Amino acid sequence: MDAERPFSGFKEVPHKADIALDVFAPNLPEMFINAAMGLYHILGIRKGTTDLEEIHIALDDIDREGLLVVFLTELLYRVEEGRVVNQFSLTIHENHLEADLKVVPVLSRQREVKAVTYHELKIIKENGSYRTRLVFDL
Amino acid sequence: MDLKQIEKINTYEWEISRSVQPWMRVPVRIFSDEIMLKAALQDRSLDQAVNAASLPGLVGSVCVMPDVHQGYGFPIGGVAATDVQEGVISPGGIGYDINCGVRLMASDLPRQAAEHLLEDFTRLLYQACPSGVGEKGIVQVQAKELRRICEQGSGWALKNGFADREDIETSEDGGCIAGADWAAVSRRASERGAEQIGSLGSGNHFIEVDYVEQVFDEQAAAVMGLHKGSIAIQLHSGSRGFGHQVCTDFVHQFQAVAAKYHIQLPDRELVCAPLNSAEGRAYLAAMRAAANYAFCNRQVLAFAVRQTFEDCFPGHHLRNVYDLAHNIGKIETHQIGGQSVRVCVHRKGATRAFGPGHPDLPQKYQKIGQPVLVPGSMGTSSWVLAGTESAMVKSFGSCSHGAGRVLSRTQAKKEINGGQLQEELAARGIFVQAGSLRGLAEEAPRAYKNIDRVIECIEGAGLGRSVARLVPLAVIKG
Repeated sequence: MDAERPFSGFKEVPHKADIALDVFAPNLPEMFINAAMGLYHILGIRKGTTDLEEIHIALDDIDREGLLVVFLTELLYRVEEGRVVNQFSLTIHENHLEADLKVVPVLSRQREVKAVTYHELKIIKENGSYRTRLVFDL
Repeated sequence: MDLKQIEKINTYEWEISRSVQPWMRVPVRIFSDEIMLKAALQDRSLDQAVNAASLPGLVGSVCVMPDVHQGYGFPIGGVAATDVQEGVISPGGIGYDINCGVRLMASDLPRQAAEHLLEDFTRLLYQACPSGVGEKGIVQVQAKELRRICEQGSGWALKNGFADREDIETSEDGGCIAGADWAAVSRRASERGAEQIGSLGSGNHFIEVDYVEQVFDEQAAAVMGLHKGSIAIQLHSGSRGFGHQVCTDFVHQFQAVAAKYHIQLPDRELVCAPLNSAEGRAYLAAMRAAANYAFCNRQVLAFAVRQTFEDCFPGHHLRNVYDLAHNIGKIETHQIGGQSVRVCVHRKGATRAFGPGHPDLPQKYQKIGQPVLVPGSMGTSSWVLAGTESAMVKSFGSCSHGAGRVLSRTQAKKEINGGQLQEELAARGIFVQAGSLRGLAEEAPRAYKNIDRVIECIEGAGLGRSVARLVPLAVIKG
């Protein structure tokens, strides 16, 4: 593992056809949020400041990796609707996620992401922190 | 994967035996020369081909094209065929951009007669053809009309004045794959697709104004309407958010389905369902709906290109050469071991390349074989080939789709300045109209393999026969 790797955040890594992110956090909800921030970074989003709405989402999946994909896919869909999350409040229990999201408008975005993939997706807990690698189809 | 695990069959064919990994049900057949093969070993594309060989019901070999590069699950530039009775269908083997594909149109307008108007023409094209992130399409419809588009494909465009008969006849499957089912498409896919018909997208999608630099097969070129020195136009786009959502929906759904049918896979992006199951049939039907959406999308864009062309160059007409898919799953009949076998051919970053005499080809191409369109990167040549009987035998009638990446987007962005690239191309006589200079850098010519070498491998392996080479004069990127 790279000694310079940040403890909590994300880092873009090269991938031949698409884009990959390494995501790190001390706990699972924070890792999900960091993954969301990474997705928004890839999209090159410029966001507004006016609060549009607060929404509640509840998601389930067969495992945590699936839950992460479903969560990010939900956010990607909302970006296409012109909405980006400005504040997250997330709880994850087993393979269930509940989130309260404060949403603001998307003013512009630089890139299109077709999908969040499951490619080699593994959430690893090691030495008290979480990490994963996500590949996005561009 | 290393070279020692790969057996050389001849100069342009190699094989990874089933014994290399325990999950392989069939071997992997690679069409490449040694130099390109060694380049492919620099990323994980061949490991991914080996993983793809785990799918239940595979027949023949998993085929790898010379432009192969690493994808996520399946390699980009791969072909895999599964038996319709015993085998599976895998959304990852087709891709998120269902029926991403290319259309080529040709004219009798000489390059010299067009050059003085080229920049103006390109700017008008840029205005006429919506491109870029989040852009709405030329056509925006309600759900009822979207359903018709998914059921009729380019036929909808014909009925609504966006196509002529020849466009339909010279499109793969007549611009519409039968068996689309609106009921299999999610509400989200419908919402995403409603406003994007007739939009280019971004990333590696493009419209390119070319001229026919060289003709290699005079007879085939004449049939296709390609004249040396004349203007031709390529268009690369797919099923937009509609197709992306269809694939997303089913890759998600199939995570549990694979377990239901006790299918174990080395990569979750390879998830699949038996073709002979409710889930498999549902995906096939939804995939066809998305494919038809893409045919219609390209047709509407092509109509706008044609109108703009005819306004700029009165007295000249753009005729369709062909429109084909390079991310698709098709039910086809192929000869395997002397028997006719009905298979689902997954082509991911690979095109159909049917040889002469195939009943699925339009009458005008019966004698010469199917036009095969292989665009290079912006700034390099593109090629028009004809399908061969040899491709039918070796690769389920399939061929390469392009040049394949050598640099990741991250690397390309780091090493290449989009503004400088635009100036360099202009200095070479290639006018580029781009929505994003960052996007342009990611699509730089040196981010891709040498297309001429890819074509040499295709010809050497007998998968296609060169008809003409096109050289770019102007490029539009979203």
